[in-house]
Amino acid sequence: MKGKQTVRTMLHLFRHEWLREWRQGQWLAGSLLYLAGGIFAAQLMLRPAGPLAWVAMYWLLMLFASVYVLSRTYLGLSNGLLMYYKVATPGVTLWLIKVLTGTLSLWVLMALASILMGVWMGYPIQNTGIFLLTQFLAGPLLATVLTLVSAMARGAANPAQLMPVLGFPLLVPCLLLVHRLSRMALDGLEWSVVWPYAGAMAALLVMILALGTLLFPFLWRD
Amino acid sequence: MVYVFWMGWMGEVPRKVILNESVRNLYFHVPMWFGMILMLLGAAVYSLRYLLFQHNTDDAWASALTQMGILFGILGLITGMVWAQFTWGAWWSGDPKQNASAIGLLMYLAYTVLRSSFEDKRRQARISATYNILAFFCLIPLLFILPRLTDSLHPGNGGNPGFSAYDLDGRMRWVFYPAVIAWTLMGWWASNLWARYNLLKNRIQS
Repeated sequence: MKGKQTVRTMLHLFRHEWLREWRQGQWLAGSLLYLAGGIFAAQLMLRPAGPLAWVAMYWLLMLFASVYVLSRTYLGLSNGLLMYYKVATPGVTLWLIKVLTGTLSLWVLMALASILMGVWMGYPIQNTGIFLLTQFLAGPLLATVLTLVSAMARGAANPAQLMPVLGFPLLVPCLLLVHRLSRMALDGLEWSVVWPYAGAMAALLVMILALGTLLFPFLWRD
Repeated sequence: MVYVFWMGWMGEVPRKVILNESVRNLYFHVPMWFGMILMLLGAAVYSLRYLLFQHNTDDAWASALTQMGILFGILGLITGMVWAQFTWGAWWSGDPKQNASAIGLLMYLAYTVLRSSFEDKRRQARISATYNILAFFCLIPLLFILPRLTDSLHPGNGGNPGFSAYDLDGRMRWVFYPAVIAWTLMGWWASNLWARYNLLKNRIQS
């Protein structure tokens, strides 16, 4: 009975999140333009882009874009909406929904970034399957860490500055793995080489999710 | 400490090709990292205690231990860089261990930025304690797992012998372990002073 209730709350919240994002409209358009502008500037400067530069540029832009997108999860909330959330849900449920929403939007952005960069700068990836797996794992990792950071930065004197300052160092271990997997996708390696690294990424994701579930109630208490 | 310094500068060390006298760095560089990890572990434990019990002293301890951990990390990085200049031929060669420790330091420097950006003391303590625990759990894979995935020039990696293989003969062991203990205790004592100083300062201000 209680489980059913929780699921219903989560579904409701999830719908609420997307409706809110959709009605505000400018958020989606804003993050797309942010990414497109970045990619266009990159292709102007890196026109005959080597494959290594392509991969580096891709993840660097995704890093900046994800900080931009996910800083909204808690920083953009009005006080009224925050009150509503606090009454309506236990913090962890809300956090999980936020992670899910963030992951989905990051996947959309990653797909669009691949298409735009493919059109403007060529597409050097030889094994797209590995690249897709990398994106599939990177989405939730970035979303988990950055929603936590966003919750921490809320209420600080300089939240917009804190997002990258806290987020970048925490994300570097993930990015190292992401970069390594992307290099494998670039060279079109065998899948058997890929699995240990993908496993390490999945383990990191599970660890951070567990840690976030334990720590989030402390961030939420005000 | 005195013993470590005396032995560190004056004691007999085994001479090896390339390493030569720079093997003395074992007494300074390696204990720095042991000390840093132990102090950051302590900081994470005190942060957890703060989250559970909300005592100001735990927060002061966590903060002081983190700051001292950063200091040890910087010293460890500098001693490592000096050693690398004479053995690897460059101050910074982008070695996985160098990169990982630099990122670890960035993480904890971000902690100090986070701390300084809250007006409300209780909120500051709560949020920074949460971040501290998160940072410690991100530091562990960074320092111990990721460097092992790639090749490194660092002793103990990529087919290079670690200090226990043959650099450390019996005599060096007798200095090395006291050095680890001494540096760690020194850091712990300094953080204790620093935490008590900060607590007193807060009490006077309020």
